[in-house]
This record gives sequence, C-alpha cells and structure tokens, in this order.
Amino acid sequence: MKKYLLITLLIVQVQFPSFVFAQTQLPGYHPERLPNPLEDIGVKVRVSQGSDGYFIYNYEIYNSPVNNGRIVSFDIDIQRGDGKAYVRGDGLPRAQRCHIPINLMPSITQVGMDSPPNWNCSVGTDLMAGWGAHDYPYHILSGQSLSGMILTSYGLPGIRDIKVYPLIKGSIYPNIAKYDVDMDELRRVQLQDRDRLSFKSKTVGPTSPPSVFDPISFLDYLIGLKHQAASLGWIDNSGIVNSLDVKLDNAKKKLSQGDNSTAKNILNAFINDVKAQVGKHLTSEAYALLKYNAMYLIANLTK
Amino acid sequence: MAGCETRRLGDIYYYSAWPGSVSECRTLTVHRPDGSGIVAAYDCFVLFVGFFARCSWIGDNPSLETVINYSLSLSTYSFSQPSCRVSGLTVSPSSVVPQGTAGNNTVNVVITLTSPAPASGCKGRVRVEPVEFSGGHNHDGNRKDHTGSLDHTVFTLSSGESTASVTYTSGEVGGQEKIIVEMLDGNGNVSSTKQTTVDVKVEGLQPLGAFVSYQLTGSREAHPTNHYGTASTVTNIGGVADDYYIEAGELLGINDMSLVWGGLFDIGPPPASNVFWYAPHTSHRKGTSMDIDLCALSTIPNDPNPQTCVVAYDENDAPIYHTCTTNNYVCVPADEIVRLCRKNGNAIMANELTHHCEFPQ
Repeated sequence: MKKYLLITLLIVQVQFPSFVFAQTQLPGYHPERLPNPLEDIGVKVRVSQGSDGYFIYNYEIYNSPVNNGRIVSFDIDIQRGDGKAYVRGDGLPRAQRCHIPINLMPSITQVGMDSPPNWNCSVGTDLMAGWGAHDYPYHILSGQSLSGMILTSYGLPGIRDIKVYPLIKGSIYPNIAKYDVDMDELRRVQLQDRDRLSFKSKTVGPTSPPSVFDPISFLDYLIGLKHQAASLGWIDNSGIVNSLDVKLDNAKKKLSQGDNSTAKNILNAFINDVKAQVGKHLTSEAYALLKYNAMYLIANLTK
Repeated sequence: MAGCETRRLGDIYYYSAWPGSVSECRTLTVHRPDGSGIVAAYDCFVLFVGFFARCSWIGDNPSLETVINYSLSLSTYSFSQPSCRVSGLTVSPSSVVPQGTAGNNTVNVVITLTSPAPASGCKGRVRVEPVEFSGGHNHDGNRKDHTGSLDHTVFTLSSGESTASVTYTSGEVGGQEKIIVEMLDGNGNVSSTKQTTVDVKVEGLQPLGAFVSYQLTGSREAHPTNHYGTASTVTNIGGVADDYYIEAGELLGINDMSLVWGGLFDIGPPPASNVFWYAPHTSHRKGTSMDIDLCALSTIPNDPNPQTCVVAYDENDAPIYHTCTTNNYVCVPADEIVRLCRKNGNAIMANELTHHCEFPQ
C-alpha cells in the first residue's frame, strides 16, 4: 500500500511540479508552454581601448543546447552609483538606432552603443543598456551564439549585473479580451515568470571611477576586483591568484609608505603578469578588469 | 412669542410667529406662490373664502404646517407634513474611484431636514443619475443603467430625527453622477428635493500630448479623448515611442490608453466589437494601459524594415504574422515592444489583438 502511495505521489510530482509554475488562478494561463529557465548562458566580453582612450566592450551571447528557449534580449547594468564620477560621453561612437535618453544620462555611466544586424539597442529607465532582436527570425536559438552587442565608454571595466531573457510568448497568458483578467495578478505572474526564466549573472562592463580619487582606496578596490574575478571563475589557478595578491599587497605597502614610484613599478609588473596569463588562466573578463584598472591607478599616481 | 420667521411650504410663502406654542401662533400671513403679495392674513382657525385659503392644525401639534390647503384659480396645493423638507445634502468624500480600480469607491450621503421630523415621521427617496457625456464618454446608450448604486433608495426619519444617511458605491464608469434626494408628503408626492454630484474618477490622470516620435490614434466620436494615463505611464510611453522612433525611424501609433477620468473604457457601438457601457477591455481603467498599433508610420523613404512581422503567437505557439498594407506603414514586431515596455517602466505585455503594455500603478 505504501509503495503504491509513493508511486502515486511521484507521478503527481512529475506531472504537476508545483514549484515550477507561478501559483495563480488566472484563467487561460498556460504555464506548461513556458520555456525552461535559461541555463549555462555564455556571456563573453572582449574589452579593448579605442584611439581616443575610450573602452570598447564587445559582448557575445551563447545559448546553450540545454535550453529550449530562444534568447530575445540581453541587458547590462550601467548605473553610475553613489560616489562615482560623471565620465564624459562626448565623442563615443553610437549607432543611430541606439537610443540613450538624455534624462537618464546623469544616472548612468556614459556609453555609446551598437548592435548586431536586426537587433536594436537602448538604455531604459531600469538604467540598463539592452539589446533585443527586432523580430522573430533573429532570436538566438539554443546552440547558437551572437556577438556585436557593443558598448563604448570612458568608464573603466567593472563587474556588472547582466540579465538574458528568453522569448516568452504572449499566448501563454490569457487573452484579456476573452477572459476577465485581474490585471494586477497578470502583472504579478508575468513578472515572476520573467524573472524566474531569465539568466542572471555578472560580466565586465563600463563603470564610473570614484568621484574622489584616493590611491589606497582604489588599490583596495582593485584587490576586491581580483577576489571577485577569482570567485567568478575568471581566474582558474590559485597559484596565479596568490602571485597577483602578493604584487598588489606589495604595491599597497609602498603606497602607504608614500613610495609611489616603487608602487608603480610593482603595478606594471602586475600588469605584465596579467597579460602573460590571459587566455591561459585568466579569461578576457579578468584581463580587462585587472589590466585597465591597474593602468588607471598608475596614471593617477603622483610621482 | 419666540420670534418670527418666513417659511415656505411648497409654493406658498407665509410669515409666522413661530417657533412657539400653539397659542402663540394665531396669525398667519399667506403670500402668493410667486411671492407677489399677501393673499390673506387670518387666524388659523378661521376659514377665509376668497381665494379659498384654509389653515388648520390638529390638537396640540405645535407644527403650523400640519395641514394647509391653498387654492388659487382652481388649483389645489396640498401640503401635509411640510416640515419634512430637505435642507442639506452632503457627500463625503465627493470624489471616489470607479469600481475595478484601486481605492475607495464608497460615499457617505447625508440628508439633513430643515427641522426635526414631526411625530408622524418623514419619508424620502434617493436615486443616482449620470451626468451625461461626463468622464470622457461622448455618447449615450443607457448610461443610467451603469451608474453607481445605493445601499437603499428609500429612507424614513422618526420623530425628532433630522438626518438620514445612505451609502453610495461607484460603478465601473468614470464621470460625474448626481445624487438626488426627494422628500415625500403623506400622499407620496414629492414635497422637496435636493441634489449634489459625486465625481467618479481616477485622480491625477494626465493627457499624453502630441510628440514627434509617435502618433495618437484610436480617437473616436464616442471617446474623443482616449490618451490619459498616470504621470509615470505617460512618461514611460514617451520612452517606448522615443526608443522605437530612434531604432526604426518609425512613429508608433499609440492607441487607447484610458479616458480622462479612467474607469470603464467601453468601445461600442455596434458593429464595433461591443456595445456601449460594456467592456471589451478589462484594463484601460486606471491609466496604466497602452495599446500600440500593429503598424507604424515610417519616416524613412523605402524603409527596409518589413511590412510583415510577427505580432503575436497562437495557441500552438506558432508565430502570427501581420502585413501592413497602407503606404509608408511597416510592421511593429511584438518582441521588440515587449523589450521596450520592460525597459521603460517595467511594463508587461498583455495578450491582446493589439500590442498592449501594462505599466505598474
């Protein structure tokens, strides 16, 4: 008897995995048609420096074959944040089709934008730069990748939140002309689905430097970036992590002693180490983070 | 003698030594209904047969107005229980939200009599009538059947009572509604009446003004002002349209939002999708909804964007394509509107024949 009960419970659990769907009484809602939550999305960024000194962030999105959903859009946080400088935005290349509202500019790290063909781009009131497929044929299917989501900015490489969204078809939700829908409930359910199915992670993106530059504080920030890069898997060798730690700690000692010249030399050696390890034990994200922030620190140290 | 005052009983004005005891009230001056002069001055126990005016009262009832019959040119004016006259009608609050939107939608209606009810009590009735064409509804069609409601439509006041209250609950329709109170005489005829209004509205809705990045569409004779929204919704719609205009060089057609006072946004009349005063939309009531036309006006000569695109998905998840056939109009893909509505105010897109973005309150 117990055996049958257990089997019955298992069947119920398999057929109606209650944890998967939003608990709602919405009529005409078809959660069984939702795609699976996006997993193992690859977000790669290559950061280079333009001739005018601005950074070029080129993102590539990869939709893993484990997903049954199409990727329709990608957002990255570019909020300026408290205590951060207002970096200049003039002269940044921007595709005509990318809209960055003027009223949002004080709240963001200034960027230019470009997009792959048939994708659009804009910065929204969510203070995230985003790209989206213009129409159905241009979604990123599972197993496919797409690059060309580009930000340009004088903002330094920093660690930023990203969100990748799957296609959620409107037909999953009740037709509001057909059903007497509680719009607040519909909103709650859709937002819950949207959040649950999206892929959230971190990558490298433009970040405003602190509005007041303090060498030791900035070096602490650089040390923090290195720790985060290691924990995010962007540095995959503990020996390299230790080696970089030693250099940054030594640079901090010298800065504390007022020996900026020696600190600079140590930071240059740090950069050389980073360069030597890119593609080996450092990803392009870790490389951009550590190299360009160390260069910024060196450039702002007095002799 | 406690003093003198001028009183009105229906169409008759009279001067009376009142208030006071019965014995003190021996003199009554009856004026013509139009106030043009005195008809008769007489002791209330005396019948004056000229214009045939008669005044009497019963026993010790201190009310002067117990029974007065006044006849002029063969017309008979009969007033009984004339003290049951309404002097005040207040509504609190005077503005409520339409049913189906968030907020208070009940009103306390207080009826006050000129003087406390006599021993025989007072009776009255109350009703709701719409102010036609208010709230953005420039049409009729049995609007009276879709007003707010009252918890009771007949009320009584016992001896000595001077106020009665009724609760009004708004209906789905935004607009002004009249609360009308009628006091009844002993014969059930209306002896006095008073009315006031209640505003049924979503406060703070603002018009979406014209702008270069979009067109305002969907205005019809029945609902000429169909582009009202909350302040944040209006701002966010501008953001969506600006983004799209810059991305595609096309002007979105911003269709129905909400009416000027919110509430039910009916469409009607036949042969449109429905009749007046019924909702094809379950939304569009509180200033947070926006419909976008499936085709946008292009500003680009030979616009490379397609006239055919995916505007929705059917129940089998297959894309539904739409083709724009009007010159210079190109198709607006659903998935891009989903993205732009998300990025401009965290809106969701509802499943509807048009593109419908629903913004937060």
